[in-house]
Amino acid sequence: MSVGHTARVLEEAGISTVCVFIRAFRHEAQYLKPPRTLVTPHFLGRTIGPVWDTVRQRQVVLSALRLLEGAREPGIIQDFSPG
Amino acid sequence: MNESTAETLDEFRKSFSYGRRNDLFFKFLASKNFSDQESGEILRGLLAKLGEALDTGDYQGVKEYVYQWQVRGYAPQEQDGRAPRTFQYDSAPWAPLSRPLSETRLTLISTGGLFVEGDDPLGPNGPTQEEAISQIADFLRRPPKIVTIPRDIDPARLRVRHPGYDIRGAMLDCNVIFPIDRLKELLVEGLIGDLAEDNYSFVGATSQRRLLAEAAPALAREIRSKKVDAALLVAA
Repeated sequence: MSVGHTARVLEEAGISTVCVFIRAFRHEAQYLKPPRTLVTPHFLGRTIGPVWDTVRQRQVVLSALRLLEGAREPGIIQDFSPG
Repeated sequence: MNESTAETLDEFRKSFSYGRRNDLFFKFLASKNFSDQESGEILRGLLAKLGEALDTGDYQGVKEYVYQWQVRGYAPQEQDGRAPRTFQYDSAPWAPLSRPLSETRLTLISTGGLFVEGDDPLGPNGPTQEEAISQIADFLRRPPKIVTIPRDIDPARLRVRHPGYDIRGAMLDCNVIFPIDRLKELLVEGLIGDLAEDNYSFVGATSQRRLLAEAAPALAREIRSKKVDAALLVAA
């Protein structure tokens, strides 16, 4: 919940934001409506990817940044896809 | 264990969530989404998957099984006439990125409860992880203490403490919740324009009202003052 609220406040201050949530908390993004959210299929506490899995972590960070750059409407929630 | 002290399955599964068997990885076992019968099936299925993995050495099935139940454990319950959620919004604010990513100055914010060794936001004698877990209710009442983490921090100097999730993964590799190394790689490759000197973390288990009224606006002012264009926020 804190990430969603922080993103909303930053965005209102003119700072573009992208959030990363895990699938188990997708509903939090739906309720809180941060401007841009990437949802990952990972365990709680491993939002970006498994320990030492640098390939997956890079894919997730790149996907989040592409969403930051490419989103055209507020409140978008995108599921991460490694492909 | 005699009959008078026998533990029910309900008591057993709930002991994993801030009880005597507390394990924040498996606290979802205590979810109200599961009936007693279903809880028994979860454990039976887990043992079956473990048995297969011990034979084959392939634990992917165990991971997928636990993941599936973790997602179901945290799923929101139907409202059923109960009061609506305290925080629920109809629209999202919007500040589109004003320049290409390759020219954007970015900062990283994680609610994973990271801090730099020797700079504990709760003081030099701040609680251990176990003590923090026992203080979860206090964390949820307090305002967050947002700490700065330098871009070029030695990962060995990072500490993690959070009463709401299992920190073992983050202790092994901070990038699972604070992907600073991945961002630095993208910076070297020119995919992002710049990564701010100051990045941030706090414990997400905190007073939402005080986060909204005080801490988040102060953070926004600080980030703006440092000419940062955008933020990547990672939920723990």
